[in-house]
Amino acid sequence: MSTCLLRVYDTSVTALLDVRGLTVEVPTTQGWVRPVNEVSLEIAPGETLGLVGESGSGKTMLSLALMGLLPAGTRTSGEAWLMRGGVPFGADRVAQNTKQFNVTGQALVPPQSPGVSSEVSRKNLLALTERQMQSVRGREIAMVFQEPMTSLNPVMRVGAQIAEAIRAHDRQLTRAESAARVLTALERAAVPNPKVRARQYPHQLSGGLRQRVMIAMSLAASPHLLIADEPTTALDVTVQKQILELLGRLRHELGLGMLFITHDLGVVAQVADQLAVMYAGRIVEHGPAREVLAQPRHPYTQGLLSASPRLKRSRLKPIVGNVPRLDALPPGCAFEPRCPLRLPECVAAVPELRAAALDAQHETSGAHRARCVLV
Amino acid sequence: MAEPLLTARNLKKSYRQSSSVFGGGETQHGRRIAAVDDVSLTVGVGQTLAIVGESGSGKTTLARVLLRLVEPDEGEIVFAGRDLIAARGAGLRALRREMQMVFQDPYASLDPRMRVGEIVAEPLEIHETHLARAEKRQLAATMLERIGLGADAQERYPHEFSGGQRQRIGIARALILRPKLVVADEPISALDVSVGAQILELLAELQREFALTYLLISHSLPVVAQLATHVAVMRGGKFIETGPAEQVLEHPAHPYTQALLAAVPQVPGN
Repeated sequence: MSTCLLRVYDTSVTALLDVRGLTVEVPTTQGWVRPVNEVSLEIAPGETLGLVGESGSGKTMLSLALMGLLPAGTRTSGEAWLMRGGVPFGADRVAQNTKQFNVTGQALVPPQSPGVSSEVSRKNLLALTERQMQSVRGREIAMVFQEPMTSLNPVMRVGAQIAEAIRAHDRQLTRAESAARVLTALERAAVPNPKVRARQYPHQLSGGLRQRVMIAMSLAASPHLLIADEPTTALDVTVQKQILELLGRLRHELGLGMLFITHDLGVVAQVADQLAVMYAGRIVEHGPAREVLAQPRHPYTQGLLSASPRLKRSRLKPIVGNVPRLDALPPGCAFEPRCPLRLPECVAAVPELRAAALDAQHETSGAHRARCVLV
Repeated sequence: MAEPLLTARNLKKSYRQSSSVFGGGETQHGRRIAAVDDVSLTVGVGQTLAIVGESGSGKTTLARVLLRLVEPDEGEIVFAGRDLIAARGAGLRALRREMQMVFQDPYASLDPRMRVGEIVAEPLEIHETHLARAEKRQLAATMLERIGLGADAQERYPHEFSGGQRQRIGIARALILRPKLVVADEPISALDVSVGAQILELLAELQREFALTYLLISHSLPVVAQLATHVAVMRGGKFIETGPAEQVLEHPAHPYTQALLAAVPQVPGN
């Protein structure tokens, strides 16, 4: 019912994930509030979208909505189309395209290769039943969380936990087959001594190894989309570097699309092709990562960049005030009360996401948009 | 060289490895782990010494030893010209009021059942028992005003405040006794970027205003770069590199410091 066949006519169908107008509403004593408000985004196969926002921006709620893991009582509207069967062309080709993308900064529209079926089916994640969603989670979309210790079962050997994830989607496997797949999964996540590690419990592993185990587990059923929610925030910097390198390598090897959620602009600069900045539930700026970071157009993105500590001592410019409460949002632009550039019209209405004007000095892709009256 | 406020020589602190069934599976029973292994340091008045290290490096244990929250196995500590290790009773209490701490987690470090005014005035209850209630309230109100919360915050509870505001409350509590030394253990790592920058700015302002000396414990080199005058890089309980902040951060000599610096994701721009 919610799965339909489409022919590849328009480029949007090449998106692995195509989210349109996703809204999540949560009941409070003050009425319904919207932690996620009319969010639209796309992720192509092999592409990483960095989603940046502070606490309360809605970035985690968005990922939970895509995974069908929202708390009971919430309601969602909008669409989230996931291409079924994932990548309709070779993963190596995706890797090439992604590299090309990085060099030119152009939006990725993969050419259709001959011999590949022109028919792909898509499903709207928001319309699936819990039962249908169970076969999507893990097999088509997987998630890696911030704190691997709380996501792993402390009283179960890690190998058994990975085997459980594998067998959930492939019940026919023999013990030997699933053991072999566990080792492959651990090797893929570059876990040293995978045979030894598989027999250990989470507390016997370092934070970095636990996160590698989480990654191994999440990729065990070969999903096409990985949602990584602050996957390196709890780790030391040297370990963070290794995990970021691992994720970068895996996405090339597996043609993995990735939604990478973080509050760290340094991390996002390292991993993301595209970047979306969220504030109070809405995307306020969106575009090729390098362009957005080099030429931020929304005052909030500009503020985040000037508030981020760097290795050279520089006068940080904090953003004044605090993130607004969702039950007390300002009438127009949610950033208006904190904005150094605010104008009288900012309180009139929520600005649209508008294409940032082309700049003669910088190469712009035309895909860069910001939700600000100044753009 | 500034006059030294805090000097430590050859500090050592080791712990016995847990031998319970839930202990680490790879280590032997009863092995001693050196959390602080022969560390010496000097912090001058008005300086900020940052102790940088990854988890397990011993930086938090060192901070606790320096505050004498944990007794060292060996070594000496001289604080404001007095022997901190030998101090007892009233003498120790007098030294303790000069050294205060700002904690990492502004959610866990404030008692949820106390009003903010009581939280901020609590150190006065211990160290300034002669003050009248009204005087304590007045001091708390002034301090809350100074750290940017307004005196009406006194009547409210911690849960009514955001993370950044709570960290301001923690700072107000640390400063109300006008200490000489403030130990800040990861003061912004639980905060959002925009709010963390506010707290760093506030800490820098307060340092000038109250002539504070800071001991900053952090895993984040960019945060350290904003505040520190001196940096000590810690690993395995030892200082492996120390020096003025610019020297350590811009011309690191030790390969480990170089690796730490190289691993920091660079924020583009500026």
